[in-house]
Amino acid sequence: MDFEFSEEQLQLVDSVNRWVEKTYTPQVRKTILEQGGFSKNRYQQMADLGLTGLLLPESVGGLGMSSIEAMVVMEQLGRGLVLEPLASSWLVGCLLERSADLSHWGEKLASGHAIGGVAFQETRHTLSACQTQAKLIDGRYYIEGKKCLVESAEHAHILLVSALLGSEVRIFVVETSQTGLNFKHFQTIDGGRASDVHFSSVLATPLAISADFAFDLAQSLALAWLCAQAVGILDKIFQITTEYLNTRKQFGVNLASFQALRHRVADMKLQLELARSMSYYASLSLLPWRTLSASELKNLGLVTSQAKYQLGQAMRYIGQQSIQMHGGIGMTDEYILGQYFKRITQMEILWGDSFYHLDKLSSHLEDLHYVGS
Amino acid sequence: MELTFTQEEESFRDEVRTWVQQNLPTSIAYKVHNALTLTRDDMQSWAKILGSKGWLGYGWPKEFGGPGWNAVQRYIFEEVCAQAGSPRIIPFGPVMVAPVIMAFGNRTQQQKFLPGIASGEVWWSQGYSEPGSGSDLASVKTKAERVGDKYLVNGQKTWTTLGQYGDWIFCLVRTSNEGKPQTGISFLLIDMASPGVTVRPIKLIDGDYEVNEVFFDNVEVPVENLVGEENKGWTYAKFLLAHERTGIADVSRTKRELERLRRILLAEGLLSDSRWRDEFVKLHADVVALEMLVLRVLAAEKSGKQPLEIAALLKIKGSEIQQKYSELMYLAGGPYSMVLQREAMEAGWQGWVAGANYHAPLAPTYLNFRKTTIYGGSNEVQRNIVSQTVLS
Repeated sequence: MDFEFSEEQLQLVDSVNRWVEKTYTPQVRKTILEQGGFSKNRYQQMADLGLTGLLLPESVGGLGMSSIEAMVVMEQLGRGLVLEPLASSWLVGCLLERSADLSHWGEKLASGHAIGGVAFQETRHTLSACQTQAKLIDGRYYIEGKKCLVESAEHAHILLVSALLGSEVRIFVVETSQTGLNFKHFQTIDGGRASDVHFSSVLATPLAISADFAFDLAQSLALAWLCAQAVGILDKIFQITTEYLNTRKQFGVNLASFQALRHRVADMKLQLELARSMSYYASLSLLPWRTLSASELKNLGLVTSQAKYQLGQAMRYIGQQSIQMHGGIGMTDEYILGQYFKRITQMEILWGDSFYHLDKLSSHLEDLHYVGS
Repeated sequence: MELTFTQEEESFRDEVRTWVQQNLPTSIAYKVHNALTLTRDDMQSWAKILGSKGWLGYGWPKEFGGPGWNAVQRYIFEEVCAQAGSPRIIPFGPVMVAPVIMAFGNRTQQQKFLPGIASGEVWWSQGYSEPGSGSDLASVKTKAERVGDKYLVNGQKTWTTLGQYGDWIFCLVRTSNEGKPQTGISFLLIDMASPGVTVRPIKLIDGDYEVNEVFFDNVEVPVENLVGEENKGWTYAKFLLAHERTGIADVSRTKRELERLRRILLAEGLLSDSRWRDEFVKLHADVVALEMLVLRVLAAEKSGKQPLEIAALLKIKGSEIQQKYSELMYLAGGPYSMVLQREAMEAGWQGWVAGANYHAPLAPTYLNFRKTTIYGGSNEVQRNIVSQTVLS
């Protein structure tokens, strides 16, 4: 039982933290937001830091690091509310790796020259609901259908797409440069972008892993990274709020002197540490992601669902209270707090909202377990 | 003890409902029912329609041209208007400054200002909060210096709701630094077209510009615009707050909004989800309890007997309910709630819509309603007020 970070992990934290503090200031972020929510320049810098290839094997130019390194990177990127969709590319890389299919795209993803996106969703929160179809014609697969709110679609070079082949759902790799793809790009409330994607006779290559396995792995990885990112955000929100309470005066005294607020800060701290704990639990549980069996993955899904639920509670409480404690200032768009709040508001509905995960846990009530057993 | 409304009250309800249905433009009602953007024109034209009937100042006594309705009638009127889909009455003129002018203003001020408020022609704003004076309102610093037959006003107000549309603004200004801060405040009426007045809209997290900063740079205000006595302004402001305000519970609008929530749940296929049914049912039960509490307050006021001094409770619960339903609506929308599409909140929008036609306002409303527990006296302050009534 050891929850200390290694020297190398601390160095990684430090280098990402410094990159964020120096080059991803609120001003910079605002500019990137206004110019489309994605900076090629910043994404390249992330690649230079080794982040795009963090999880991919050294054989394709990656760093072959673990889920813990991924967690601390996501935390630091969360602190800076970095807009560029690193997690989407990571997700594609991990699924390709488990599919033993890195030969074509592995290097490009690792170097940051290719960006990936995951296009599974068609209806609210349920990945397996799939009407998109795949047809085999003259030895080639073609996709027809629609996917909703794909996170990095606007800049993605490849998408992983779920489609029904006959009666079985399979996962396919699709190159976005093809003509049969039609995008509708939206701005999301956190300032980023997501797209609805229409597929019309789009050439696709199937992955070896089953759709079920892909959904479970994608969801658990995505949730672990979402939770880590949220911890970074909540850490920052907590810091901003306590600083405000320690400096803002009304009635001749600091707001921090009001017991009602002191108690609430204590509650925020509690939520923050519970959230951090679950983020650690999720990422630690994912250490063997490269070799987990399908049933182990299903079990892991309960842990990541619990993590998402817990983070949902923390995001809600800490987010809402931070605005409340700032008073009117917390409502303005100019003050940095609002940007953090909008991101966590959006994160509640990514990869299943709290209700979805509670339902999932409920239907597996008999399989629930604790950390120690 | 009697739960039902009287025969007269029901007839009154019918009369008001008939008139509202005939006079509320359907285009405006459509926007309100669907939480679409209301223009300045929408809000002001409804105010003028009410004004033409003498119902904009619906709480005014007959002596000042009001309908002279009692507390229950005023509530019925609010309920009918909300159900029909009318915009909220902008309260600063007809509900806030007018009663102060009636109670503490002189005859000239009443004759000069009240007609424009009653008709809806003149848009009033509230100049209370300042950057350094939020909860501690008595610490206001905007200065009004008496120079001959004028006041010279210098300072800054903030969070002025819809100030960008304001014609006049009523301000708490500092006219003395002696003694306690409360005893140096005056109530001043200022023409916003005066030289030296600058209004700067503030963008909120929902992407809209609902509030403003108002800067006063050597603004000359005739001394005739001082309401009541100099340095007595704090008393007048407190009178405003003590003035019966069941409206702050916003029950009528909440009931209408719960219908919008139900429509969204239906469209999203969530009414068959027991978790969602639970959430709706819990919220509904809370609204019923608050509604009953409001009725108790109204009945006590109508009877003239012991008033229920619980405005603070109404504000606390009402605001938290508003936050709850706005949050449930956002979540009910599912993934498409995350799309930022304010342009689709315009009534005439013909362009692309992400998701369904009800998605556009969901996130903005959730973000906007974080304000309800902050404004009008934060819920922390309200809880202080409540506890002071029972604890030493």
